[in-house]
Amino acid sequence: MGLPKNYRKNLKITPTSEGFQARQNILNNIANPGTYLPKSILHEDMDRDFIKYVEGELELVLGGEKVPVIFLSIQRWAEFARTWKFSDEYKNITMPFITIVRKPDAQIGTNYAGKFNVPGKPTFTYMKIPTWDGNIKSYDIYKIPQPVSVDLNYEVRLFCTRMRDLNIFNNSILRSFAEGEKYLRINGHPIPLMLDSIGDESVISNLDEKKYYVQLFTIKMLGYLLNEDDFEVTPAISRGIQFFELTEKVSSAPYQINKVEEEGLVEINLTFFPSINNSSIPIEFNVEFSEIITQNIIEYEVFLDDVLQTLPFNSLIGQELKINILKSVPTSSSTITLKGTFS
Amino acid sequence: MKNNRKIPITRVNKFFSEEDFNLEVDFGREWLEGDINIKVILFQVLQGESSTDDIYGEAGRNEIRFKAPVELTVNFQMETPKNESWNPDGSLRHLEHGNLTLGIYQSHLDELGAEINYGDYIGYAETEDKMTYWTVSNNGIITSDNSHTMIGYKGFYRTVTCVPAPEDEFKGI
Repeated sequence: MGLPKNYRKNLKITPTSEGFQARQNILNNIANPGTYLPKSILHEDMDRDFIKYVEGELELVLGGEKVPVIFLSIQRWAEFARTWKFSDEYKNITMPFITIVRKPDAQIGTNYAGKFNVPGKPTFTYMKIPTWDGNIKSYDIYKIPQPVSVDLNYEVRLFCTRMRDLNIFNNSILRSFAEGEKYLRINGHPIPLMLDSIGDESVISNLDEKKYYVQLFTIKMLGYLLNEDDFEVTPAISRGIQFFELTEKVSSAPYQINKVEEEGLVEINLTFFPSINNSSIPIEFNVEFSEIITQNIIEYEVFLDDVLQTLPFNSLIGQELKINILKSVPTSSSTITLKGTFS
Repeated sequence: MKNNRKIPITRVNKFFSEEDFNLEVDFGREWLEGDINIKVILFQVLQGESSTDDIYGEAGRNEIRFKAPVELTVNFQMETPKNESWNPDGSLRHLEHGNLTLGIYQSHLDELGAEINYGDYIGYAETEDKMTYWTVSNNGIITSDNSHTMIGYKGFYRTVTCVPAPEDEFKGI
């Protein structure tokens, strides 16, 4: 009896995170536990994890034996140190084997799709950590720079003598890149790999040479560099003090001159706003002042060219009239009116 | 492939034998070691003990460990020094030692219990107070070709080629 339709054979028992929670999980993976900062990622980290990827996920087992993966650099004895376990009596490495060569020219990265970047290498707030020194509660601000993108190009070659061995490895590679790209978690950072090309360097056409297959996989890593030496931890502002300073000279009192020339009368009105207690006015005509009316003023002094005056007094053109007051309510405005006649 | 069974070598046995072979080798060694007596020092790298980084397998100048140096008497050929420049435009000229080509009797190596591997270092005393180093680029371990055999009987010497070792790669002694 067949299974009924719509019968689910694979049930996801463990819930998977989505949306914000999934993004938060990625951030949590990047963060280095206990430091509140992300793990740094450098060339060595990317090389190390690429080798692990080839050794692990692309592991090739032929005839029950794991095919060795050899990462090569230029020191001759180091090359021999890597290969002697798999070599014959003439110290030649025996097939099959896989080699990884990283091209030395790490290129400017295309992780940001070649866009321009923030200039000046500023650091950005990554996390705020509360601190307590016994008296003051404050924060430390953890800041990191924008990562520097870098492209690393790897050449993975399989050397073997059988087509069926080629097929197995080729199958592993194509399955790994079936989605178009393959992500590696390098120090928690998700770094994509792109399969650039698959080439053939097999030595099979020359009848007078040893024949063997060489399949070349060119893989580009769209990585970025984040150096922990560039991280900054700075204390945040924990306490602010505001200072205010007031001066009586910041402004003067506005005044208004009313003249009734037919009757020969003149009137000067001054308004002293809060915090203003004195003012000076240039005299533009000859006047004999005979009356002063005040509002919200306890005391006042009137000077002409710094000479104290009492009513009545005469002023001449060009003199300076200076008035000092003492308010009864300092936070309110005061007015003073000087009345007189043209002389 | 090495075989425990011994296979008698009967090549050219009408006029040549193992005794003749050994005699010729002794003549040659007497000339090389008694008359010429040019010596180089072989530094056999201990691959397992040299401290390397986990990823690249590279070691610093002071991190390469080697067995006790062995003095080898060799047929010595050094190429003319190379006048080169570091930059492709011809600037920053430097004079580099030429490559070494060493002829070494296999029996000499066997007596010393020494083996020359790819990447081992060769020291040559240019003067009383100056030692220069090369690294082995071909250990010449296959000696069954015509030129390395004695009239096709058996291989008896190696041709080892060496290239100058970068100064920051190997400290030496």
